Amino acid sequence: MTRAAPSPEMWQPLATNPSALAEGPPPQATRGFWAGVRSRLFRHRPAMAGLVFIIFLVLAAVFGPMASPYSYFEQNLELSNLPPAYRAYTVDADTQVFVNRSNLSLYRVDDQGGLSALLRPDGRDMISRQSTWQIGGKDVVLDYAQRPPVLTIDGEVAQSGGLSLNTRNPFGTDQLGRDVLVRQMYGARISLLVAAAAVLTNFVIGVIYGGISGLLGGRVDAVMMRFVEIVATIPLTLYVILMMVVLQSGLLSVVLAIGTVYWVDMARVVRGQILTLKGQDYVAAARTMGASTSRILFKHLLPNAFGPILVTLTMLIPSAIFIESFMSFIGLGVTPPQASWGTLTSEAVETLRAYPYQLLFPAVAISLTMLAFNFLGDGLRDALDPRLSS
Amino acid sequence: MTAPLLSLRDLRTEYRTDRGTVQAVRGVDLTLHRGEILGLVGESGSGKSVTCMSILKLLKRGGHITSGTAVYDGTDLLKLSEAQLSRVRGDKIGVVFQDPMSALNPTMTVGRQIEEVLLQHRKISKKAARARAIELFKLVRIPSAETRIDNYPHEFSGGMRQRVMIAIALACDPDLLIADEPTTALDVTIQRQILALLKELRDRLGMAIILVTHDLGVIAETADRVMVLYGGQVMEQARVTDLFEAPQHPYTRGLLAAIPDPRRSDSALSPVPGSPPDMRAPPSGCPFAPRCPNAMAICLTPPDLYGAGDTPRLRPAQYTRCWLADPAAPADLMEATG
Amino acid sequence: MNSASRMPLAWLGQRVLMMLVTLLAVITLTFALMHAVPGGPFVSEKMLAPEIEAALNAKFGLDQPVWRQYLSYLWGVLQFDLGPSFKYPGVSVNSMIAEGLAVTAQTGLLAIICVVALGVPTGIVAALNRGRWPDTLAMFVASLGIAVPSYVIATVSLYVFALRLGWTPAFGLDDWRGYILPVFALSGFWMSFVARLTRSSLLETMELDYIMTARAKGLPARTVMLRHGLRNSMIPVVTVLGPVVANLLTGSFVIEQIFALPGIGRHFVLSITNRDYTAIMGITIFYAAFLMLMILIVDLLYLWLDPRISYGDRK
Repeated sequence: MTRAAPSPEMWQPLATNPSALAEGPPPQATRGFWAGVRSRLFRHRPAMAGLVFIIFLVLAAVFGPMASPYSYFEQNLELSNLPPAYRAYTVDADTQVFVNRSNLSLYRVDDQGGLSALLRPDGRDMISRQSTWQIGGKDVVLDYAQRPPVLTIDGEVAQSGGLSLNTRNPFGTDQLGRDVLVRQMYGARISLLVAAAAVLTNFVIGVIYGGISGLLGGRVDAVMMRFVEIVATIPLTLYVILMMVVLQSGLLSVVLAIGTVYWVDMARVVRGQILTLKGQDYVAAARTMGASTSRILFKHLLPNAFGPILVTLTMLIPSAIFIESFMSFIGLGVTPPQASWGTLTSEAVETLRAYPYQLLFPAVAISLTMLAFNFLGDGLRDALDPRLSS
Repeated sequence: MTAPLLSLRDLRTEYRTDRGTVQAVRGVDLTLHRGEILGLVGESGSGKSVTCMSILKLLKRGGHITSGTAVYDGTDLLKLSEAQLSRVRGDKIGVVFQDPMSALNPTMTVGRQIEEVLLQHRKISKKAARARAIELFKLVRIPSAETRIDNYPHEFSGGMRQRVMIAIALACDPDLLIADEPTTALDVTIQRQILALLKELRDRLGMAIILVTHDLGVIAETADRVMVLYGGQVMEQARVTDLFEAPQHPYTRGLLAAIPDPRRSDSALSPVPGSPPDMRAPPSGCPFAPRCPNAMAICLTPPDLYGAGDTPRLRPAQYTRCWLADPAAPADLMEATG
Repeated sequence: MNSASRMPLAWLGQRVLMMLVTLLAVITLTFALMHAVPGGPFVSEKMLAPEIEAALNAKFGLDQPVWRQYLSYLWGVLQFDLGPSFKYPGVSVNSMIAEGLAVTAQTGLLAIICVVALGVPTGIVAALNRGRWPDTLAMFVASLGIAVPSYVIATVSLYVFALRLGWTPAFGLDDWRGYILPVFALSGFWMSFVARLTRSSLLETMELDYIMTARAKGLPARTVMLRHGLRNSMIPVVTVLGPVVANLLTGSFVIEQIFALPGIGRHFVLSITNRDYTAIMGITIFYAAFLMLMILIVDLLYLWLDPRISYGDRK
């Protein structure tokens, strides 16, 4: 202790309010709970990526089909199974053609780089397995005796150019010549519609059912929960399938089927929340002050149960989207020509050997959408319960 | 004087959280002799629990010891590897935690939880471990030890569970028992039984105890010597009688005034006003200054720990970290506040 | 207390009774749904001569009042007789189930084994390496596994491994390689789910007080994790095993279709497209009964895992 002796004025009592001495960081404005949730959510990168994708998806689903020159049902059998990108052969200065080796057809490449017209062969030799075209005075021969088929122009084996994009149908066409892009966007519409329907019915039926059960308690609760227990024993998919058998296929039926059975989880979550919250003091206080049951439910309990409700909802969205596409995939969902990602996938499976890339678009679309909603749900859960975040 | 059993020098421990680094312990020195019961007292957040858990590096996630030594029986525990340290934990040093409800594994019989520590540190058979576990149950006075040993924690009351915890901590005859708020979660009557048990066990087995508590009443009843912690630093330390008879630090006085006294008719409680500092950015001077009724201009510089050699008011083995105990402090000031 | 005293016969009896009530509800519900289908079961068929339809109706008892049909169906179910198929003359629903059961059970069992034997260890490895690359990698793959629908996994892997690379057969279960893709597609979601659940549950458990106690006892870190952390963190994992079984069943609808496996799921989907109402009812009831049995087993497993649970007193 070799400090210099302090000067006398140092021993004077502190004039200022002692609490002013607290030198901690400037007292943080106590942020509201939701502000904290929001800032944690915004820092959750996968959740933000998911959110951006979902916004993009919504825009594409709403405006995409309007902006497209094609409709989801318009068929053009001449231009079926065209790829999104192709390698063209140059016949002469102003004619380029694309060869579809799976159906042995030739298509003209238009000025914009789109595959816009089927070229009918001028001769077909079934014996030697050749098709011939006369294009600009040249003999174009597709020899499909060989595997893979070989294209010759005036007797010379043609060399294909680089990969170019099909500007007419950026995602190509399906086996009925419909534009895949517009059908994809239409599929997004259906998925989001189903998601919205699931959210709505969940919210309304689930919250009311669970809320009443938890709030009234006693015998009513026991009976209501027994019922939920019975419903929950069987996988929802099975119910949805049974409902679809009764309702017949179609979009409305899918929405109805999902709506009637998907509230069960939500009812349980809400009831659990209500039971926990009911025991807390502020509800007892509201009760002693003579608040009615419905007032307690809507004013006091539900706002506090909102977090878990929100998390349950975000978890249910991908599950509803999945169920719809699953049902459509096995042929129990929306009916053709309506396009859902499930029907698109199953259509792609039919042509899997010849046109495997057709599987790519619906598979990627449904997977990314599920991923986006899952990420958003995870982020939301972490943001609502900071304890859980790693 | 013989060499101390444990001596901490300049211990500093931090917790890194996503809201900043909490400086939980900021240079604590501590000396503990064999067979001694040392009380660590302070409000929550004072650093008392972290101090004693740092000895065995039993820190929750985010906790780091940034400096200091903890010499136990000649070895610096803080320099040991995790593997070497686990040979000390449970064997030479036992730990009793605050909440016996959550500190026992709910899916394991209490017997197995005791046997486990024996089998870890002693080369004995399972049978011998079980016999020893029953013996320990009897030592901590759990009735019908032979049958209770096969029960699960949830089948015991809180007090009984804390006895189980003590039995686990004592299984390998440690020289030191760290008891972190061992009675806080218990009823008052049970508290007394547990404290009496700890004291009795010390008398019989001769181990030293570090008793962490926020309750000066517990200290008065049990400890030999006491350290008052605040803001991650030692504010005052003394033999228990000296602390109660002649508290030196304004914070200690505040704590003592906060004890309800049934003998006084005007037993209005006077808790220390204000709240503990934010340990992410602790005050640069005396941490208690913002709440101190005697705060002076000089308190914005950190005070030293003064001993009896510095000022005649301090009793032997009494230390205080307060400018009032500085030899240069004006005498009238000392009169006014003493 | 041993586990027998925590599970009095009264509890078991009550559970079985509850199961029967639920089953009755399921039977009633499916019966009602199948009879709510607009028109009779044979209406959707190509024009049947009225007398043939009447004969068919008489044969299946459809000319009787609904309550009588219901009672006789119930009576049949009580004797484990799910009735004849509407569409395949001479074939009983029982025999359809029996035929498909072996395939579905084999792939299902293998899938459950995958879920537990791969999902749980992945979660443990991720938790042990929290924040480091094995964790990041495992959780990224698990996120994909949860997001990508089983039918997408099935079709893409079918294309890549069977059609393109030719490593596995594209359909059928003729040799062991035929099992790989269906089992992988079937278990992908739940493997990922269980891996994530194991990780988060283990990490959460490792923050609990008794883990600190275990460390304070001087147990090595590995022992602390395996003996004290793992068992307790498995409790939520066991909870999802019931739903896992349920979802593997429904998952089998599409997997069996894609890989052309003659399991119950394929029969079920076929009977739906065929409007074979007795088969739909029968298979649904079989599923329900099977699931309830599984859930009972999970409850018993629970009892063994968590001694705090007492099924004797109702909480």
